[in-house]
Amino acid sequence: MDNLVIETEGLTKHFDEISAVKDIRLHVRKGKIYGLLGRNGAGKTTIMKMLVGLTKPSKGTIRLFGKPFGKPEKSVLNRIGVMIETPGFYPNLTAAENLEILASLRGVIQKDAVRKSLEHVGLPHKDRKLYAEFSLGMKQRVGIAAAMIHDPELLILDEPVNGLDPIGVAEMRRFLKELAEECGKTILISSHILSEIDLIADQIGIIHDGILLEERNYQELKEENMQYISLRAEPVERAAYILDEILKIRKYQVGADGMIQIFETEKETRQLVRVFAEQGIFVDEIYRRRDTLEDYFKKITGGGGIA
Amino acid sequence: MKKMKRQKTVAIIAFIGMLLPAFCTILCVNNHYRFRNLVGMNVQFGSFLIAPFIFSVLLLTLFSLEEQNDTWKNILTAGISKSALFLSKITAALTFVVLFAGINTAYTMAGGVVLRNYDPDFIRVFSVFLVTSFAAVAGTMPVAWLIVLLRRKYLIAMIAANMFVMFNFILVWQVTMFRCLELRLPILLAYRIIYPVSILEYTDNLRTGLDTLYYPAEKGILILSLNVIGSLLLAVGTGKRQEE
Repeated sequence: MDNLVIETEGLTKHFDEISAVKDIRLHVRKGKIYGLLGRNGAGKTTIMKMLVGLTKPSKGTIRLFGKPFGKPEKSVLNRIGVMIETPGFYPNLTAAENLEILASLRGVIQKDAVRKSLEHVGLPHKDRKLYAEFSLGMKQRVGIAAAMIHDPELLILDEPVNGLDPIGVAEMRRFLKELAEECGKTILISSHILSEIDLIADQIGIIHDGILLEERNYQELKEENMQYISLRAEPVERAAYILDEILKIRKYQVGADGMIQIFETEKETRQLVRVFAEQGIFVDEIYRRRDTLEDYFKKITGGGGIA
Repeated sequence: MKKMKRQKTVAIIAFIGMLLPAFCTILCVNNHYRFRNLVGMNVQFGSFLIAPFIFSVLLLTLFSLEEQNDTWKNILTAGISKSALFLSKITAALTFVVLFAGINTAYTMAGGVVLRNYDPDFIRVFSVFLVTSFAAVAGTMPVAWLIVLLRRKYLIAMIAANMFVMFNFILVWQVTMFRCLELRLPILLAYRIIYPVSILEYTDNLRTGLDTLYYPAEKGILILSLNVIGSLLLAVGTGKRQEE
């Protein structure tokens, strides 16, 4: 577990009587992109705020870079780049002027740090346009530039693609992947755009009503739970018997609609049909299916969509 | 300071900061007053009205700038503590008070040329304005707590801070009336301990005033210091509680 950049144990936050998050056990590995998924108000932002010391946890512990994180210290915070909620900047200043202030607060000594971080997010360095005149997408880009200005090892980004146009979203995705794969940066990203997380995340955590329901390696999750063979055969009890006793399949489930989902996807559908026929049962429907992350999210949270 | 760039409030304050000393100077020139009258007037109106006004409005602007634009999180996640942040804002507001003392001195020296008993000692006059402005700000320091307390309600905070400054000024203005000399309010003590400093040229009349107004400097400085420390601690404590 040496390669854990973020590790939390029993992380809990109460606001008066209300629990915002309960008993969160988060494990973010070095050089990986961790996608934190949850509906609005699920507790994603509260977790992120606690990770950077903006909110004190009511209970539980945080370890950052392998060391306990209690009181926010500059030495630790300087290793983290943060963008939480909407980016906050001074509207009376240009993007470069805003970043210069941040660079001085962070103690950045490289003279071209502001220019480089703006170029990374596709914004001109010598633009006289004030921040107040920026579009939502441009503001979001400045927020990401600010998070990276001091070249941090860990990036904590709360809904970073909000407000970006499709090209901007694709660019951001490529950029974040590059940061993780080529520069070895660790990224904790929250989003309600599941298709985006689907394309970039190495690990995912699903949070619902303040509880972390699942934390998995995304590739493993896709292989184990999101791909399955869907089968309909009557009677269901007899079909289940064949799966258990003859085909020796253990990982399957019977849905309320009578559809059977078989997660051992290495089985050939032709073979399944033949075995069922040999046992005197006709298969009405059989097909391979791959759940989208949204389908999986709905299944896990037991609710509707994420938005 | 960079954050104040292109801020309308700052431009307005700068304008007011230049307007009043100019007005006092013109008034003294037109009435052929002595140079010491001009200094006294600029101490009373400049140091005890405009300087605390500049300090409180700028401090409020600095707080509301962070509050309204949600920039606290950028600063706090850069590892800057809330106390350090608060003190840096106080320092920035005080810098403008120093600038104002400079402007006040420049106007006074320029206007003084045509007045009687002109003493072209720029350093001395600047010291008078600086010391009196700082004393007035120290006496007004509870405004810092008021600003922190109301920082999320900009308009109410602005009204409350200005009313507090104005009330303090009225007390100073009427210091010898309404039994004000019996009160131990910080702003009155600030005025009473700096009074000897602001006198450039002694007369019997001023000596009588001095006897009446005199308050022991050591005791006054101690009370003012306690007022500043108490207000700042209260403001920092309030700020921390609000974040929790």
